[in-house]
Amino acid sequence: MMTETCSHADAWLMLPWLANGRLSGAERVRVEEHVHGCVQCTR
Amino acid sequence: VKANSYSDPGMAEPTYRGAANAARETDLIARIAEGDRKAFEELYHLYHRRLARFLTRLTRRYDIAEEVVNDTFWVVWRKARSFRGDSQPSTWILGIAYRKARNAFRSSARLAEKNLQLEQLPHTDEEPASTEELRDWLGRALAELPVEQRLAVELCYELGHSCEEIAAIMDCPVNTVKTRLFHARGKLQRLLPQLATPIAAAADGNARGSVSTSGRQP
Repeated sequence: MMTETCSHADAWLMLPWLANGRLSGAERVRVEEHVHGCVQCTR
Repeated sequence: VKANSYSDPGMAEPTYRGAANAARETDLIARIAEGDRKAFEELYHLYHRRLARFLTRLTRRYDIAEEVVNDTFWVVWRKARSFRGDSQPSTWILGIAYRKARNAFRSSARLAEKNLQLEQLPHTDEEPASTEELRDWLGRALAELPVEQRLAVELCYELGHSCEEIAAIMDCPVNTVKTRLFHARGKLQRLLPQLATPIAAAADGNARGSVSTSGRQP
């Protein structure tokens, strides 16, 4: 399970559902936080 | 990052339609279980277009898609009584369509393989040329993927299902769904960077837009 801070690999796997808007509230917050702070993701 | 920021308005039909619709559809299935033809007709109208599009994209063959749609509704009619409501109606129906599509694939795999080059989907007038072109690109890229990955892509991006719903439809663990999409995205990223990674695409699009605009100025 994902912990409070989401690893890059975890976030990367979840991106399809960030894109289609189907992540649950807590999941979405974790993935979004990661994406905004991650050099690889924002590249 | 905005949800659906990547999507073309012509591509995505909103399919996650909320709890009210799920309750309505559960009620329809209960009536179908009692042999109510009107309820069946209503469910047919709710799902026919969605299933036909999903299956046509998946099989790239109108004849197979239509056959699978008919088979699916036949099962819905006969098995409505076995729907217990422990999954969403859409998950149940898509699950049936998925299994029917797999069977159709198996029996016509050889033929489909042979005809893939010949059977081009005819153009329709309902969409602008750019969308049509995009769909064709995407269709060709998707055809390169193994069928399980292609299904996962369709269920996620085209039909808007959650990871858990796709796992229920495909009858596999959640992690398998994630892995299938991971591999599919990797392959699509090489073929279609702008579709496979919406976030990178938005940034890339902006950057390229400004470059080309300034490039045109004397």
